[in-house]
Amino acid sequence: MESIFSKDYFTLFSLPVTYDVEQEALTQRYREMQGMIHPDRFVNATAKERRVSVQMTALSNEAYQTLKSPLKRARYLLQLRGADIDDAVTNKDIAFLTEQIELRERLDEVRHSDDAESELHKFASELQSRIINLQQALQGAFLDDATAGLAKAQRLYDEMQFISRLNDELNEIEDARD
Amino acid sequence: MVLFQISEPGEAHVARQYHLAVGIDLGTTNSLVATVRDGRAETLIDADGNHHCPSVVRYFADKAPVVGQAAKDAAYQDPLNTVASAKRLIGRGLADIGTTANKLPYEFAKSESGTPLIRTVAGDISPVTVSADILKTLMKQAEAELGGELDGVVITVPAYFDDAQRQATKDAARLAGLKVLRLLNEPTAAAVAYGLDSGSEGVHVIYDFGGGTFDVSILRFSRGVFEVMATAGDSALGGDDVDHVLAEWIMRQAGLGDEIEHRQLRRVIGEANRVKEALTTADVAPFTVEDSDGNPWQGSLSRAEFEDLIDPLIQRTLRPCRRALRDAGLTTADIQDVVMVGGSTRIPRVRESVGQFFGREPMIDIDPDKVVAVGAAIQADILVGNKPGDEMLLLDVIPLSLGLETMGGLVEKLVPRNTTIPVVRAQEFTTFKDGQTAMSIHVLQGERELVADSRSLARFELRGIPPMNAGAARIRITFQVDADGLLSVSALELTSGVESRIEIKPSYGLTEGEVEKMLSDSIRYAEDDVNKRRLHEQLVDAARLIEAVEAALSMDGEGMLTKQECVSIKAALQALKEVQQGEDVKAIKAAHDKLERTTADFAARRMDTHINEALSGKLLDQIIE
Repeated sequence: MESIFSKDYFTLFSLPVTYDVEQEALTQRYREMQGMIHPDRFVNATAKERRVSVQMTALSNEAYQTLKSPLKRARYLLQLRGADIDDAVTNKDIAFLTEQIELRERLDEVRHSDDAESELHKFASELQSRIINLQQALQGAFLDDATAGLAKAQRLYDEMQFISRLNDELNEIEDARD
Repeated sequence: MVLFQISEPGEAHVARQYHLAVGIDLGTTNSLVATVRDGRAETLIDADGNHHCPSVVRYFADKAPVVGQAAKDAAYQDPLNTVASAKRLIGRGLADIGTTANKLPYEFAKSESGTPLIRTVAGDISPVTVSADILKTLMKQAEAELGGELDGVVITVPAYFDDAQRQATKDAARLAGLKVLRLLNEPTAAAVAYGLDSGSEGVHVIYDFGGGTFDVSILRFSRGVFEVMATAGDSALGGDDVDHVLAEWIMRQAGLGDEIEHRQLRRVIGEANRVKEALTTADVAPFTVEDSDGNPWQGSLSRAEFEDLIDPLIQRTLRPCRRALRDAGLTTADIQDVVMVGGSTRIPRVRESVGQFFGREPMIDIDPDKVVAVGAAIQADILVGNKPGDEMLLLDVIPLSLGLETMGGLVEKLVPRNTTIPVVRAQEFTTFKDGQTAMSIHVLQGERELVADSRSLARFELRGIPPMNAGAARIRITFQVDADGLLSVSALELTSGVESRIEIKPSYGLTEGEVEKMLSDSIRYAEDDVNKRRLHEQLVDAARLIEAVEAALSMDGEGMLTKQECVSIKAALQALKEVQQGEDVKAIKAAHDKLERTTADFAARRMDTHINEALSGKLLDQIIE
């Protein structure tokens, strides 16, 4: 039988290898698995079993977080399909490049504004809905098994990664204010 | 072996011994011990009928220290030898506590590793020793009450404790001679007690404002699983700070300056504490202190003035609340209820402000002082193995990000805060000079980008990297955080296989030598001696291992082992059983380690096989449904 350490994250949770992950099933399987492998279940076991339990649980945590996050899931699926993620092929879509500059400028405005609370929240919710739209687009792109589908998925992933980073920076600005 | 009892309930009814386990809330101001008896979790009382043991220890030149109420009562007479609030110092460096130390009525010395030591007539005492003395007292109290030796304890720590503070707490338990089943975060413990009691599923906020620390945790409770979604806090903010703010105000009113003596400062702080408690119900509280000439000085403080004084402190608790909500991706509308924990939540202004912030009345119907110990006892009962088949599970997170120093004094984060533990993360680095054979690794904790602003946890060197061109070596650094929230780090040069592994001993933590020395010091006044205790520990470990291996052999020995493997394991098992009859600590340890090594592959194989089987079993069930 194949070791759970060598399974892909989808198979680990007995889920089909697709972008459209059924979140409820994922959470349920994750919890069932934690119930079996968590170190709390091995407090009185041998040192080796305790170590394996920590590693298995860490793996299952990593797998769960990856499949739960729309961004990480896209990246993982691209890797499974053989895309070279770290290849610095930048997005050549001129419209998106222009938009990146605009969004960055807007982030700077929020960062340097004195009373930007409402502006910050407005920006954050725009980014959120953008991520949801990208998620839907990615679902379609991943259904297409052809090379064209993969290229499109990678482009959408790049975009989502950019938006997510902006969102992280926005959170950091909010953190710094507290 | 609990795993297999869950998957095969038919075998779970093997008669098993009942184990004694307790939960300990090691608090800044008070500590408590609780256990589960006849299915009910309850705090234990001491000989005088008290549930709370003040976390105060008084040291003497010629006899064993006194812990608890008697020590607290002596604080005014003997301020320099009576240590309170050691939790505020544990796992911290002198530099960290610089500002706090000025307000504490002790004299400090510095240890070799930079930890603060308190000058007493019994010598320079580490906060770890103080905590160990409190733990020992609670252990004896529990053993007297339960009528036997403890098989294990769960000790609670503030969720926002960093690695150094957690490690130091574990060191204290080791000094006290306790087997720690788990370090449990205080708000998580409170959630267990509250959640199991109320049975209400959903998202709960635990607002835990104690004597010296503040934590806020957001948890989702669903079908026996407590999942921490985010935690935040301030490990140096609590009721002590309220007392200090009031004491400073009283001193200003009475015209007392900073030159005030230790003894007098203790009295003023004591009076401030009394005023604070009185204002929980009263609108005005009178107080009396000695002025600089030693004459009584009387004054009073109104509730409104008090609230103005402490509002800045309350505001400091609301910032972490905002951050935790943001990290959990929630708004106050998503919260089902807010549970108040810790003595400082008795202050009406705190309840009012928290209620306003979350837009709902906070829950105050549980005893905010006992709930943490009760939750810890429930967890201890399960971990020690008294409730096979219990499905309760706690999924906790790491409170502060972990990272490494990179070029330019910057921190590269490997594990972000609020990541579910256990977690393993690896990252590759390379050399930046031609022919570089060593690499210095600096492990940091905190949210800031600069090394200078972060908590330094440890530094170590990976040596023996074969000389290569700059950028050719591939060094993989792996962080592993276990279920106690403790970090270990290993570094591996991938092209040559050179490995360097360390258990993180925090920069400000105790060295192994210091722990050993403290261990022998602490036994100076105790009835038992070091060797007796070591023998006992080894025997407990040996018995546990023998039980585990025998169970494994009878279940999987035939199916999973070759004849030869089976023979070696049985030989190692027999060897341990033989030395177990004697009193040779070294021989028992050697035989124990041999059996661990011999069964390691078997253990790994069993884990993988059984979990695979169990997982496919689950899947089958779902298809049939």
